[in-house]
Amino acid sequence: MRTVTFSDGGMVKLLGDKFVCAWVNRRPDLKFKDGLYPKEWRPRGLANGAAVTNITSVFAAPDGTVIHAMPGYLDVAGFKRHFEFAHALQAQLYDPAVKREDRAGLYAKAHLKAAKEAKDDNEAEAHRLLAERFMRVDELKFGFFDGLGNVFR
Amino acid sequence: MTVNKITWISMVLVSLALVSAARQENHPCNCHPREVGASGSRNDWDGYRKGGITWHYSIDEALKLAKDEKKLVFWYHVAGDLDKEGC
Repeated sequence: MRTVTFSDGGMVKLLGDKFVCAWVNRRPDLKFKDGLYPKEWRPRGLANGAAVTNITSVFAAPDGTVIHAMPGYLDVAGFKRHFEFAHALQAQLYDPAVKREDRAGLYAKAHLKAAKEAKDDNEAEAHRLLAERFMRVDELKFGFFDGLGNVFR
Repeated sequence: MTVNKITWISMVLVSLALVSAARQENHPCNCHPREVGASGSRNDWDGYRKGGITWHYSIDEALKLAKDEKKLVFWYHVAGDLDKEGC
């Protein structure tokens, strides 16, 4: 993510214009062995060829509501796609015409629709997991996506 | 420089290149070695460092700023020694 997505000029501008960015390491004590990963280990991948491992991109509203989250390395196109999904969903949920009590239902519906449209099984599964839980950032534990093969905990 | 010294240095350089290649091959994120930093080195974060993203190291702090600036929060949620090496 750092060498590719976060180094892309367009992404940097997008993140700066639309987001406040937080880097939070939940397990700084976890040390990778030399060579980073066991040779025999092959993580499950996302459609862009990226792995579901020890990072998750989380998009949240200013009130702390998780709008979207996707585990694994996202290239520029993948990150942009998920950003656009999160941005559109946030606009929908926080439309003044939408009642606060209706937000959870709209959130679940949007994620289930995205799960059906996803071309990648892991991505679809991530959307399904999110659809089941309308939550705040402090409720999103690092093990949330373990079913997708997130082995680093 | 003697022939022995040249041979020895060549062997060291070849070994380092082989170790580097093996490490890249083992890396699972697939941004290496297909898509690496501008200089082609996996540990070169120049593009990232010059990127200009302002990171905050607390979610609460980011949420407070997001409210003030009417922005969303992007939380890069990581585990492990990613400050040292990673993607």
